[in-house]
Amino acid sequence: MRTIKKWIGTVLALSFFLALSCDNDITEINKNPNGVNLDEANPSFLLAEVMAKTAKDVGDKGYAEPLAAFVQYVQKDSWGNNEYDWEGSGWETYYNNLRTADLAYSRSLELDMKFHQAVAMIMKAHLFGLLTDFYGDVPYSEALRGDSDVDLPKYDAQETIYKGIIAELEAASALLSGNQSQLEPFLPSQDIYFQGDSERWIKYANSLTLRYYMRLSEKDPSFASAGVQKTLAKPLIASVDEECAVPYVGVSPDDSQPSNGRSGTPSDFTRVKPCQTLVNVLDGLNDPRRAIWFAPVAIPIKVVDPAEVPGGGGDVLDNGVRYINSDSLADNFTIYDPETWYQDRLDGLTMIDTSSVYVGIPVSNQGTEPYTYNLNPQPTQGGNNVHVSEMNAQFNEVEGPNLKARILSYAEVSFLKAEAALKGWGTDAEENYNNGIQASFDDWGIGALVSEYMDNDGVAFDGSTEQVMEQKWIANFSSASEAYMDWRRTGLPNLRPGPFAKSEVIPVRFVYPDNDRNFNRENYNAALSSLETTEHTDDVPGYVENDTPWSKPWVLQGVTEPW
Amino acid sequence: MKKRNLPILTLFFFSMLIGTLSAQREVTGVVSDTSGELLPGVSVVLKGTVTGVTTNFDGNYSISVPDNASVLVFSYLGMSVQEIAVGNRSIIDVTMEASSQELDEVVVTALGISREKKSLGYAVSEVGGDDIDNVPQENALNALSGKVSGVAINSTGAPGSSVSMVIRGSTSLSGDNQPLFVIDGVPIFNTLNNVGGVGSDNRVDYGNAISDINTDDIASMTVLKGASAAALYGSRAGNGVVLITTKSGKSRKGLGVTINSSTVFDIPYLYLDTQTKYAAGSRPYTPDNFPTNEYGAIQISETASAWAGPALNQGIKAIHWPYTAQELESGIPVARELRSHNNARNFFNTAITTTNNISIQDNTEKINYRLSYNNLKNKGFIPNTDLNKHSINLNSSINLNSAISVSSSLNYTKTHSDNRPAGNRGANPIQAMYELAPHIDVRDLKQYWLPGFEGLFQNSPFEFGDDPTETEWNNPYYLANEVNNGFVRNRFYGNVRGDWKITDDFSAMLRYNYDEINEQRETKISSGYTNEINGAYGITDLFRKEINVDFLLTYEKKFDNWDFSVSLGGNQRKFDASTVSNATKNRGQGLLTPNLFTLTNIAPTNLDFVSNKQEKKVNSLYGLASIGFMDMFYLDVTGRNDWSSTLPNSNNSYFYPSISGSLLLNNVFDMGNKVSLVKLRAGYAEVGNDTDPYNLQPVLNSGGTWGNASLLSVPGNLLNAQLKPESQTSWEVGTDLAFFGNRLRLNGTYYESDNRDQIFPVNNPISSGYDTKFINAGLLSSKGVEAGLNATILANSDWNWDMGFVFTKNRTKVVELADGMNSITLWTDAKGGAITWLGEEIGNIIDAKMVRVEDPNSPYDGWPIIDDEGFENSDSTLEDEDGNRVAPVIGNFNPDFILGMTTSVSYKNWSLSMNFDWRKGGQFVSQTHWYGESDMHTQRWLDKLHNFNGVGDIPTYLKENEEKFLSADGEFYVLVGGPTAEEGGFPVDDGGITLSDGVFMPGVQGEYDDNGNFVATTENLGGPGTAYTRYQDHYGWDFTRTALFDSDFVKLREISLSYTLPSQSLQQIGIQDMTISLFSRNVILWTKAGIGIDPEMAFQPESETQGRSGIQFKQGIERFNVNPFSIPIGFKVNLSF
Repeated sequence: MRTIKKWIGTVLALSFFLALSCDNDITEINKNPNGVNLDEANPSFLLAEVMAKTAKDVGDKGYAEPLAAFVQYVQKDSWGNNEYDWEGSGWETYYNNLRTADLAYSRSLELDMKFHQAVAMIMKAHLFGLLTDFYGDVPYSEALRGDSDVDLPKYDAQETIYKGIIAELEAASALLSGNQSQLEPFLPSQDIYFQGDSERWIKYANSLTLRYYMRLSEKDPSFASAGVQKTLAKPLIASVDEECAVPYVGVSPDDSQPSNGRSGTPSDFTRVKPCQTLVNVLDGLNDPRRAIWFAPVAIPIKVVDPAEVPGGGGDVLDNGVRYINSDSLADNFTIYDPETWYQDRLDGLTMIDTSSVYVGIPVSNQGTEPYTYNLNPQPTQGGNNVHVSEMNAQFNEVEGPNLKARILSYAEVSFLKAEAALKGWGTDAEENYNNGIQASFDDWGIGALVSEYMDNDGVAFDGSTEQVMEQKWIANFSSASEAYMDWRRTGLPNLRPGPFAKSEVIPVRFVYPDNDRNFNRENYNAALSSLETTEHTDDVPGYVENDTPWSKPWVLQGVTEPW
Repeated sequence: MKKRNLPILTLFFFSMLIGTLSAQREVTGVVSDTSGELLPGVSVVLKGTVTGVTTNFDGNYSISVPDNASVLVFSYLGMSVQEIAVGNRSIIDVTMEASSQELDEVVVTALGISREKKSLGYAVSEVGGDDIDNVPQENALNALSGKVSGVAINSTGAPGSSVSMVIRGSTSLSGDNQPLFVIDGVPIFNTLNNVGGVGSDNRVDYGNAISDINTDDIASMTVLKGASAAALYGSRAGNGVVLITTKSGKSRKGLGVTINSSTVFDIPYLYLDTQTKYAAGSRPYTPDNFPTNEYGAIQISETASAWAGPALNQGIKAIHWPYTAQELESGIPVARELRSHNNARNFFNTAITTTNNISIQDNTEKINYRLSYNNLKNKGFIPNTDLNKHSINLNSSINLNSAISVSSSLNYTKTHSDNRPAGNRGANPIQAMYELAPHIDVRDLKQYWLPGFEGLFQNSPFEFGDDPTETEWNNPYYLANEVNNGFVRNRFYGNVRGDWKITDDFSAMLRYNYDEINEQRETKISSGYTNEINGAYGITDLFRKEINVDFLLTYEKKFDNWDFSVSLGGNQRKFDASTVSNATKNRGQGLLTPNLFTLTNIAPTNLDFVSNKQEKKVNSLYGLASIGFMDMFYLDVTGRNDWSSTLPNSNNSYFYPSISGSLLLNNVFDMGNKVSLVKLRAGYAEVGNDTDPYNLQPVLNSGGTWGNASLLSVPGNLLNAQLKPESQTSWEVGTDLAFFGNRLRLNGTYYESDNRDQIFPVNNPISSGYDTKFINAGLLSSKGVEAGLNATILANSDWNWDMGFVFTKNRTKVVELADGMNSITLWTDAKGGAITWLGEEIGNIIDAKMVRVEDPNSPYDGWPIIDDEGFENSDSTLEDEDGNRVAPVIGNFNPDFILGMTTSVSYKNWSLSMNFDWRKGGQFVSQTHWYGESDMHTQRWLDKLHNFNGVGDIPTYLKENEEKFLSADGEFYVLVGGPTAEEGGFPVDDGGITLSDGVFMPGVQGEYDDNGNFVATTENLGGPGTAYTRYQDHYGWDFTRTALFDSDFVKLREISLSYTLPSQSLQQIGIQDMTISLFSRNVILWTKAGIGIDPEMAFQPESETQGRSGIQFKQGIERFNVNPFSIPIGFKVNLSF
């Protein structure tokens, strides 16, 4: 009897335990409460992410990254990429962003949200456009399918991608225009480009289409010509107010002016210095944008006759000017001259830039020169150089009236139209040229100065493509990637790397990232055959086969520019 | 506490010396063993005193006793202790019986089941009693260092930092490899990941949760090393288990009170070897060659990171910080003599740790309990850093009747600090202190606010004429005082259990276990921090809770010669975690009103807020059966099935079996009385590991904001809905031997374990949209040897001398990885990384290759190829196109072996014990050196430059010594020259000024022709054409090797000298026991590298988990984890009533 009781007790205890253990289903609790399920995602939140990350990338590449040195807006005083061998920064930004854009697209389709669908199409096309701009052939048709069936996507031909994205942009534009009256609203606060204004999205899509038709102007003129003419008839960005330029909000490094000294360390700002190439051009045009972009040199240098040195001596600082007795200069010194400096440096001469206001760093100086340049008395990496101009102090801030990620400007559209007109694909070259300059001045807050500027030597329209592209290059300041694409297409302005660059020509593409070379090897290898090996392909050793910055992608094959 | 005890102590000493000799009488006798053999050296002690004698060569003794009530205690090693009341006898002959006590030692095994050690088929190690009590340690794990074989324990920093314990090497690529800790049956939460921080580059190690355990409450710790021992813990057993038994009231009869108090002073004595020869600057200017400036004097470039400026202590005058108010006002600086300062010595404090513990215990037939309170206070080396801990423990047990008992163990610990120092780079005061140029006296920085800008800007060196608010340098006192990383951690853990002895053979246990941690971190950064100029503030709340409910039914029976037992049990584990964090955005706008630390003082757009929840549940059923035959043979079989919520429905049930057995040969064959134990054992087990919650289905992450827009992004790591558990199969064989009445004991184990189906992310091409993908793959194979040797060298009534050694060696290889994957990266940093290729060992550190001539026909074969500017070339290619490694392996962060030695000697009431730990082999990367030396901060780097003044023709000399200076096997990164002509420097012109601060790297300039033959253009040997650079520009920054060091060290983990006051005199004033001791601990006796860095602390904290290692520490690399070496001096008093 006692034993039975004990056994009953045991069973009771056990059932108590089992009761505790069966309170809920074990698989149910593994549902992640910390994020939004993919099948519940709101497209506007996804698209805001895509827009923000795209703005950041374009803005970063535009101002201080190596492309800005390639197109010779700025140089870095150390840790720089002044040797003109930059191989790109990887393409994760683009595919990461595309992954989110892709979900935004499929969710919009599911929910039948045409506005969002079109925006997703535009953003995808833009991102694939940037990818093929920089790399050449890239995974496109099979990309972004790691979650379903394709782990190792093949690379598509650059021609396919360019024409594919143009078709996408046109389709997106048509989708918006065709459904204008019945578009669902796009939350204005979520649309950081155009605040939910579908008109502006249409103009943006069309302007982007114009950009990409023009991208093919040299490689496939007949396709480009037809496309440009067709597009010019559509609504395009027609004022600075309509352009795609996203003001930095300055809350975190992700939404702040790149390379500012406030959210980083002060030297993030001071490491970026004006490039002498742009300084020379602006000096030549007496361009007021100099003062908006650069700061006057702290202590100018004057090389003078012995008698003019205050108090005599060889090297004296007086009243904010450093006077150097010209007799005391050794043979290996020379005064910087824009015409001869290249040869002077090859001859081993040390340059002294005696400009009284703006002193930039010449391209591709050797070794430590960027920070020792112009007799810097305290030459340290990231340190001060009182004899070289800094960037304008506004770029030291996280945000400001002029600080924007300039994605597609009215100035660009105007110059595109001017260039098209010169090609006979459009009209009003001069008007558009003038509009472009006006737009740039407006954009930088000095619109009132434009009329005086137009009178300067070399500014008034002379009908040459060189002039249009020079002004476009100036106007694209802080949008270096677009200036780089223009230079690559037209060879204008005629930029060359400095005397000590790794190659005598500027790179024309980015090298495929290690990630794909390592993990998508077969498709990567297949893509290499589409790259044209040039005489400069092997200028710098250490690359895999012809995957170097000096091999030509399809768009440059068989054309004469840039080299 | 201590001070008040002093007079009492003095009194005890006197009473001991005077003694109390009253009417004495003699007792004599002879002592023999059971075979009649006379025993010399048997200890005969009057119980309760230190009075004692030993038997002579013929086994005779003679001792005087005070009265008939006296009791004599007879003891002899390997024999049972006998206590004999004297009564009115004057002759007492004694027969000593062989003791089986040590051999019958009972250890706690899995699920808290006590077993006779001899019956186990696997290796367990136990540390208890004095081994834990002798020397107080803030972290219980430190008490295991050097005492347990098969275990590697590393402190990651000063007291309060995390302590890593890895048993038998790494088994998992995805986890932190920490064992499961079980306290009195309660599995408790512990991971190595408790690094966090608000503000940019403010990485703080808040200490892992295992440090919450009060060392004074620990009775013993048992380490279940292999899967065989731990198999009953199923999916948590992969990394071994540490079972901790806390003290209970059972240890003695009746009511008692014990008080412990200890204080340790950690006196710093050895610092990093920074150079004190040159001021900050880029060139060693002298007054003759300094470029003109407006002040007409040398001006120190205070913003220069390099210390290659003018020479110190040479009478050179220069304008340098700090400037007087007069200078600043007039704008005319005064040049002052440049001198060096001993900044480290001036900056660091002596650290002080005080621990007090009081416990009350009682033990009656019905009930026993022990209540203890512990208080620890630590003040760190760095000013304004501290750690405090309070803990309360109540263990109690009630016998309801003869069959049913209820017991509980309840623990509450509160750990808090006003400021834990940041590690790594950024807010770390040690970094700021060591980066302070040597011409500056750190004491000038004690006023750490810039005068006139108190609360806004730091007082920190700036160049005369510059804006002092635009500093790029942090003042170490500012960081120590104004970056405050406080935290409070409340932890409650405990259990209630009921035991029911249903019949004599059949019993049941039911237990409810609870463990909860609440940690609140609060970081306050005042304005002025270079990385957060407007300050930062944040609160983080971490919550972790684990509930286990388990039961166990046991049936035990003895049939004739057979012992038989079967147990069946079940467990349900529920784990909840949540994190809520509100803080300023990193490198954002900081605080609205300076130095007001509230969340409302953060602009809404600048608020970074995170909340996160996790939940996990595992159900388990398990059983074990064991059979023993006549103390000769034992066999154990266990099985466990787990159902985990973290795995997909189809794969969430998995079974873990184990089998182990032991054979006691000494009981099978007669081996004579010199042999006490010969045991052979073997075990095999399969265990595993599930994964973290939510690794099956992806969700969208918040990507922050842009203005008013909220961003949502799709994560780039592809999750896997088909995951299965990781699995580990392992086997071990071993032996335990004992000889000479147990005076010599040996044990050894060899094991192998294979870890398959590791859950980890593998790389995908990002063009597929996903850069990583969770998979099950891979095979990690570990093998190793553990051995122990213990000997009692001396044992008689006055003397006892024990020595022990433990030996640990483990190697883990990567045998398989996922398809197409050739290597696994634990971390990358300093141009190298801990990357293991297939077939190679975990822990390998790789580096870039120095480019050398590879042309056997060239006379320059093997020479470094120098570019035309004089710099070397590096090749950072990791692997060739077939996936074979080409990067050189330059070291491994794991030691070749660890040898621990313990020894204790006691003489009467005195005892001295020591514990040494020798780690042989292994390497670590010092980023402190890598960064510091790239700016010429160390004497080591100056010493490394070759001064060839006086060697004659330098090119000839270099060629004659080609092996040393030019070949790949010679010195790495040779530089010839120095900062001045006297130090062998060469003239270099820069910015128009020629100084003798030139160096060159021996090698050859040239290139390969189209046939692959090397064509030299210039021999870079100091002859014509040699390219010289300023020495401050030349550093092996592209190589990890430049800062790779050997990790070998010897540490004195513990040393203690203690004196137990004679109890007889104490008892008169009601004290049962009193011990006072003097101790020291963790003293670094020797490091092979000799660079003032503790190699054990090569654990670099990061805010994210690293590579695939799943932990927040990079093992084998450190960055400014450079606490000074110290000599701790501690005192401890132990008192029980």
